[in-house]
Amino acid sequence: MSLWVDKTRIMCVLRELYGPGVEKLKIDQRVFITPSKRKLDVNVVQSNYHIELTPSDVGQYDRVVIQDILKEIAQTQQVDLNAKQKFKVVIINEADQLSRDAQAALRRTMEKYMNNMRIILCANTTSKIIAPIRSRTLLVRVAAPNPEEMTKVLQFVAKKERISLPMETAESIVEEAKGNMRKAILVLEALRMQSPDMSSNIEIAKPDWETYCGKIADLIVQEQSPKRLLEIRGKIYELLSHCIPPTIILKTITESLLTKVDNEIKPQIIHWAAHYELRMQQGAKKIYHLEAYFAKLMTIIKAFSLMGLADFDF
Amino acid sequence: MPTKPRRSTASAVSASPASTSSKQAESSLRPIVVDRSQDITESRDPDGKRTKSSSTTRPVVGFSALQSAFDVSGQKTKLSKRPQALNQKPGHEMQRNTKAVIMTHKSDPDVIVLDSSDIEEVQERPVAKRLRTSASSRKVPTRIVSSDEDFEQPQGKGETATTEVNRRKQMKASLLEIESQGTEAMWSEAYAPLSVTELATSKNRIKSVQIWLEEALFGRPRAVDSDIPFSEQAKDRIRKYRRILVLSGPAGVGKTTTLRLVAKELGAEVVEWEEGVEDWSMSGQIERESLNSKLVGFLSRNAYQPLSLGAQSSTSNPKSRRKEVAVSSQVASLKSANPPRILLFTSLPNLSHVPTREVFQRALIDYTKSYSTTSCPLVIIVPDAGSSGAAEESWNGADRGGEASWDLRTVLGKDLTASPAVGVVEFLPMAPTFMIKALKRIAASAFTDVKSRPSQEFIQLIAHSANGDLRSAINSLQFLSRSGNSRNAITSTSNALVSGKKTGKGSRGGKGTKLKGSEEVRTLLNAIARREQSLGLFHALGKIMYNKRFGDMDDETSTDPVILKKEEQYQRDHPLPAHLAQHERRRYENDFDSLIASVPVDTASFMLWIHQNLPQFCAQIEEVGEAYDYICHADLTRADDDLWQRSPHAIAYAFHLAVRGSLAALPHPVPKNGQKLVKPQFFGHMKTKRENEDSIIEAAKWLTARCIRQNDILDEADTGKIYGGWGGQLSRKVIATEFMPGLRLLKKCGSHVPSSIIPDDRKSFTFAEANESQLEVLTENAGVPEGNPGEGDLEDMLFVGERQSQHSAAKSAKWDEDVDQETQTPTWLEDDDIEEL
Repeated sequence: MSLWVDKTRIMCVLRELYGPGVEKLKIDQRVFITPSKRKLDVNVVQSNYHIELTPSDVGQYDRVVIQDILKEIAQTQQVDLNAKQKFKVVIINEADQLSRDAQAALRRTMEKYMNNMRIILCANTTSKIIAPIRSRTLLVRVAAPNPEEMTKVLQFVAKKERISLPMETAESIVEEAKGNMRKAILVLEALRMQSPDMSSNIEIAKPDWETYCGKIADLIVQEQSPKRLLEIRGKIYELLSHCIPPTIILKTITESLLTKVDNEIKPQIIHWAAHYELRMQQGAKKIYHLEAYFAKLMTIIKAFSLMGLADFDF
Repeated sequence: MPTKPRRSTASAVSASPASTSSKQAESSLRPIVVDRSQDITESRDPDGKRTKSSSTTRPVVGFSALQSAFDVSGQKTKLSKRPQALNQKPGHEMQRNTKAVIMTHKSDPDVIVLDSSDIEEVQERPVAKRLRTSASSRKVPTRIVSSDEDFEQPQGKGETATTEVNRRKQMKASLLEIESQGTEAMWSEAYAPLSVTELATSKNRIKSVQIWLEEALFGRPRAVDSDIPFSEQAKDRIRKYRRILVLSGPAGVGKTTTLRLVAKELGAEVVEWEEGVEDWSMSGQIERESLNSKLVGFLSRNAYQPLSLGAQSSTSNPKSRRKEVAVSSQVASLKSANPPRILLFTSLPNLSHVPTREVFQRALIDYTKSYSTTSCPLVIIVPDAGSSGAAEESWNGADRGGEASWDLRTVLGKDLTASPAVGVVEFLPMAPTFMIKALKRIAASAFTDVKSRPSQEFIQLIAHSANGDLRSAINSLQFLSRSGNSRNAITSTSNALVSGKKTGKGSRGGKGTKLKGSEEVRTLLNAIARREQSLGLFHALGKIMYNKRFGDMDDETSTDPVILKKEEQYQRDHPLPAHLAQHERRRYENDFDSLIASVPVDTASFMLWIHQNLPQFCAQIEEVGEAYDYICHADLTRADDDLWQRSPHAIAYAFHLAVRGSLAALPHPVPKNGQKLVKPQFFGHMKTKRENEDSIIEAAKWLTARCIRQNDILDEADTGKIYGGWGGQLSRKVIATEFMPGLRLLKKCGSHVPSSIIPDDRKSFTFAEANESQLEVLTENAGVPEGNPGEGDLEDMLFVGERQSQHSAAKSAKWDEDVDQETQTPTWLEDDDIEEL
């Protein structure tokens, strides 16, 4: 019925189903109207046989999008007589980000219109998908590629692009990408732009914001004062305003920090990271919680460096 | 029939005084009303009186009559709004009505009979009246008044006639007395400037408005010499780009007055769009359509110069801002020549309602696009509420632009603000010097007797505490002068106007000029002005940040030693239990309750301010951490999230938590090293974030388009082998964290990336490397004029607070002096594409 698959594979499945015609894509902007008469613009990508959308982009209104689009697809028959399949396919990206409401709506429509339509849900995790949907779908787990596979892909890309990619460089890229193939290829491209010769002792550039997070961690370790905190605040704002999710900011900085502090206080740092992560989810203004977390980190580090040991009660 | 009465309900019910529109209501309803003359005579409705006051001699059509009329025509739903409207009527309006009746009496002795009982009703039993109205509104179709003894009166009129007459006489006497003693027009209206030269607003602004209007009306400013030949075409070309003028600025700086006076000077007629409250209160499709049609109707009806008939007589008194011009009654007498017209929007529709806003903006956009030689310009007055920070932040992409701050952009929308046909003149809070000038002018005309005029010092004080709002300053002046000056007025009348203000009864120093006197004025000012003027944001912040506690060592103006002793004694006698010993500290010097009352912004914004400024007042990181923990806790109440649906307690709790928490955490005394209170970076951050979100959406589109293009190319090249470049849509998160850095890098390396995604200018992503310097600048930019609001005497504080409390964070505090030349004066042909000239 429905599948969870990696995105590239989805296209392969579609190609198997419909032949190359499915790769004639076009972008379209759909307008949905919420019950409160607000207009939502949703970008969809579609071919004659399928439609792909990311309802979670519209946040709490995702239910409207799901309902409307499924109904619309289901009620229109396949017009192409040469089509190999009678049904159309709807690809829903980021299915794990869908709100509960939207998932419930999805569950209802899913069964009702199954004659004309198949659904492919693409998600990072199934844990946030409600059980009724899970039980109605065929689950295909796509594991992250292992380093060998990734290196192979990188070499393939390099060959196609006619660049020589030293093995060491490829390996360090793979290490940096942590199983994210897309990231690995992006890094490769960036690397080519930076230094076309691809020498083996090249520094793998992290995304700028990650480097930035590392710098913030440095700032925390170097000095613990209100003044420093103010300095950091500016940087957090900078990160936030570039739409880096606050959760990722907290995580990245914490990770970077953990490599820079004494083992003794690591458990505390993790503890507070979890604490403030939770708070942040509950609170409204993320900056308060991020900053409170960093103030707490500074307090811990300061106490540790003063006393030489941590006697903080959690 | 259905639409007409509805509109008149709106206007009749609207709480605004001096409504001319009820006249129309009356006439339209007359046929129904006549046979219920008993009802009419008994009418107790202030609206009825208003009708009278507008010098008509028809019998009063009161509310009950209107009501029965409406109910007959089946419009019950509208009337349920009624009691609220009554409810809202402010106290002083009663006075106004009273006066109105007396005027009527003079002109038409027959009418007072009906109305004097009215007044009595209003004064004696406003509550009963309200109840009755609502009750009757339900019952009117049957016309039964049995449950209501007041309604029975008309039926037994003959019996009560004599008593009625007696009562009337008494009433008349007392009312005349009241009038002679104190009801008078608000000074802000009575002594409004009559010519442009009298305006207190900066000359610059006036000039901007003037030039714009001249161009819009005549195609050229008058300043340009008239012997330069001007083709009609050229004029049209200019006028085409002078369609909408937006005047924005805080309340009471003279936006509307400026416009009206300038229009008057140009000989133009101002046609105002007035939207009754009731029209907005209904929800659903009908209302929206009615708005749409009304708005568009108004614009199209008035967009063009009247030909020969149908012009609206704009005898509207330029003094009164609140003058209502009923939309529907635009057919009236007209003068011989057709003056040019200016359309005016002062009361904007409920723009937080998204469909309404869309309709509104679309109508305006259409308006800018439609142009013919006879069309007239539109002026919109946007009150500038300042951005509060409340509900501004939403991490949910869908909420973007929804409940955002209430600024020009929200009102007009992106397209309009960018449109070349729209001009904006921003008014700034009025500088005290200008205000003093204006106040003096008014004082001079209000008090013919030089001796009784308020003193210079007094006026200064008022001007300084008005926060740049001239109207409120005038009101304060009027009020204070009255309550103190004519003391016999206070003693003889115990009426609503004066009763609450007994504090001012003593020898107030309006003319007393002694320091003691002016202190009393201060208390007085504080009493009457607390709600809106308060201490000023920075003053309030200073009180918290400096965390003054009893017995601070460096306190030059050290507190009374007796109090200090007492304080110490108290602390000794009431020690904290051992487990709380670390919370032991001296008592906070300021009265917390009055502090709360003085905070001029809402809790969420105030928390932002505290949060922004706290670290620099802390010596140790632990203190900051502790304070932040409290702020976090306060934030968990989400008091700013959907402010209107929260329990008010949650907000109060959040406030206490944040403020008391910060006070507890702050060191005392705080280290003093020239800290400056700065404006939260948050606002700027939200702005850049919105921009960046836009570019992320752009990027998503761009990437998709590129992929698809490649697909097609591959497809054409060799159909046999397709490596579909399409990897599926990407979420915003992935784009922000993975693609944007890559694109930034590509751009830096010189590849082509559209500037809509990665902006070309310096401000773009100077993220990883140049960020240090950029962020420094950011912090300094956020800084506001120096001044240490924790110290100095009240005069200074008021000034500092005032200067800085223009927390409308979007723009830095700047005074509307003539000095600020850099503001946008639309210069002649500035950015018009006129080649032939």
